[in-house]
Amino acid sequence: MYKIFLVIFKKELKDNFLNNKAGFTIAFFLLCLLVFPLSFGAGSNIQRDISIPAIWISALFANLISLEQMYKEDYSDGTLAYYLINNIPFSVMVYAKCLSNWIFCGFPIIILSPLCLYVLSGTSFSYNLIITLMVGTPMLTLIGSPMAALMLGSKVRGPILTFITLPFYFPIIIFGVMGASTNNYNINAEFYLLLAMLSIGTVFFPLLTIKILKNNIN
Amino acid sequence: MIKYLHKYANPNNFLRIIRPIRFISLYLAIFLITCGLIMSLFFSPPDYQQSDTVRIMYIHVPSAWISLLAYLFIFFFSLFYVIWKFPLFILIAKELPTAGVTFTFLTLITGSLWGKPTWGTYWVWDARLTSFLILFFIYLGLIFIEKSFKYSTQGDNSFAYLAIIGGINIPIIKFSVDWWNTLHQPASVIRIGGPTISYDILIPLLIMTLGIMCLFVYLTLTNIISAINEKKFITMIARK
Repeated sequence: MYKIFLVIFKKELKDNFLNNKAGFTIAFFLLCLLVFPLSFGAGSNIQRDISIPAIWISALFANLISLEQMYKEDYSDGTLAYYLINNIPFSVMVYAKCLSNWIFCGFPIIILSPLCLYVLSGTSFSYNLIITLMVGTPMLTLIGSPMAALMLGSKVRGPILTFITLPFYFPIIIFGVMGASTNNYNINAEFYLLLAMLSIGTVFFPLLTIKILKNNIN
Repeated sequence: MIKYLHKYANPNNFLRIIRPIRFISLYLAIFLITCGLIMSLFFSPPDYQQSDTVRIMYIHVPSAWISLLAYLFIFFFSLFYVIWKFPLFILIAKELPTAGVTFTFLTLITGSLWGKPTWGTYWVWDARLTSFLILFFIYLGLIFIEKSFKYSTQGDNSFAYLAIIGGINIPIIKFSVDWWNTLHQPASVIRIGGPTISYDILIPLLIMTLGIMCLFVYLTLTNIISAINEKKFITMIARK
């Protein structure tokens, strides 16, 4: 099982790297971030207050954009049907996909976030922002994976996928921004709540994704 | 009991029983809403703090209950469809969101109109209001997903699973007034220990609720009848 996981994981990483998906997501993140200083005007006080929510909002939209690619190619070229026929466990496949999606769409955002925070507001390093992003971005990927699986058979996929996924992202962004904006360095309640959501979501959402994918392939 | 109900899984038998129910519920809805409106507008006492603006409650509260009830129906019908693969369940579930979104919109509008004289604003980002707005968008998502998979059975599964995932919002709406310290008042009718509001207000409220429920049944059954006829028409064309 572990070997199968490694094989699929390597395939996913290679696919993502060659498709230039990582580059697109990060470029979109930076472009989305550019909207905030331009709309508030340079040097205003609002900009300093809004910088942490701005990073969170950009991360959310970058993840939304990346979702559509998650199962699309494997569905249309028959790889998923091949996995099903050859009895390759879907749980392994879904976890590999989620992990590779997070490595390309969540992890670079966490690495870039201190730099973005410095450029946006001029304040130094915020531990809370990095910790909440670390817990929050895997959750964005996990919530997105059943949603991406839902829309596989449809002709008009992208806009509706964005619309149906966004309401379920609200709790993550509410608690993420609340946790990141507090100034004290003590670990606070929002962080525990996000961790609880992550630990439930790690089990629950891939299970749902497997069910939906098996229904959609038949 | 289950054997007796099994007969109605056939859409033709189901049509035969829902046609009379639809007519009865239409006349009952007209009668009850008229009675309820007369009682609530002329005979019920004004509130000692809010005076006459409390009468918005007779529309606001029933439509909020109905929009939650509609979502519960969608949730359970989708769950039953996923478990037992019964086509009639998803056919019913797919016709419910249109009525549900209407009542959700009505709740939000009347609530904001009621908020202006009592709270001083049309809208606050309070837990109950926000979760209800999210319910509105989940309903819209259900409608869009249904429209995007028109005439294919693959959409049925997607609709059912989205409805099941969206069901997590319902307990959040119900308990949001207890979990967070909010501007919206906590539950005063459906609560442990019985209702806390006066019977002069409670009786017209319950009559309005029954009336709006009958209206909801009428609208939904109309949709279901037309959906069954549409399915029949499509299969008829496919056979020829």
